Amino acid sequence: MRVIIIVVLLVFISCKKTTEDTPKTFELYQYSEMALYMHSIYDMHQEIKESIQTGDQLPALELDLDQLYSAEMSDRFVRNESFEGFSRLYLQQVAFIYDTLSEVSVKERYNNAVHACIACHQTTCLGPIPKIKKLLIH
Amino acid sequence: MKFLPLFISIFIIAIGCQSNTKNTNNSVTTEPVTYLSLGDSITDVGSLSKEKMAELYATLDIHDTVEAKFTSTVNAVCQRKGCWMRLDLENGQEVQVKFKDYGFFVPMNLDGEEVVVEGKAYISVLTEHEKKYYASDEGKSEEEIAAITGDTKTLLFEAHGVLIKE
Repeated sequence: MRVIIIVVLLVFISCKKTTEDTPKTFELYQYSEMALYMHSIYDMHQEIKESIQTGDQLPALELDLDQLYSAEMSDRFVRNESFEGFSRLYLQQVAFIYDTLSEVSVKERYNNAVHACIACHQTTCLGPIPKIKKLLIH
Repeated sequence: MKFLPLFISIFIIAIGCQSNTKNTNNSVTTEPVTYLSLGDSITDVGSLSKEKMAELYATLDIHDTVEAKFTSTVNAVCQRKGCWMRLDLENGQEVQVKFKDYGFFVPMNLDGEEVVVEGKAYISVLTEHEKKYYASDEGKSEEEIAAITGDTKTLLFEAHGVLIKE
């Protein structure tokens, strides 16, 4: 009788195993501090673009732009000399947007800052370039 | 004779087990397929097969764009973020899928999975620089990346919604 119970139990367990589905676990990207910061920069540019297009006063620069030098990047990206150089160029261009004494139109100064973003992304991360290009004022 | 109850028990369980398996197989066609949805909410209704999608691409020229939805299997995914994937088409062709406005990413362990994508199908030229970049995204070796030369006419797709079969 004991043998019967054991054999039936074994058959039942093996039977159950064949019908159970193994749940899939998907490995999704976790946003880095830098990736989230880039989203904030994008939002800032959208605000500036809107104010230039409507002729309103430029919004106050509330974002801590120096975070570009310190925000933690994804594992597969490296903060190299090229990135540091583009960061300096970009911050310079953003400062020019707010230069009230400049003889260059605010639209051109703004677009130059966006072009600095695009130039950097050409060397580091191509993916968001089409989205960044939508920030340009034509 | 002593083992008759044993044989009967095994027989009954085996039949029950088999019918369970059959029900599972049948359920593929009768129960709704469940998906992980990314991006805009879409359905699989009206989705083209990869063979039909290959036929549609064959009618396109460079810079033509057409709205489409199709079902295929994943051949490769960006291993940095999941910001693009390559889907299988007929005759060894592949489509490179990117996601609208960089607004969402797909899981990085998606190779071989079935997906439905909805968005814009188009054909463009990927430069050598872009091809090397995507190869790097895919995790190819430095030697493999160095061997990539020239621009290539490529089948592309901008998806605003993706369904991943669970």
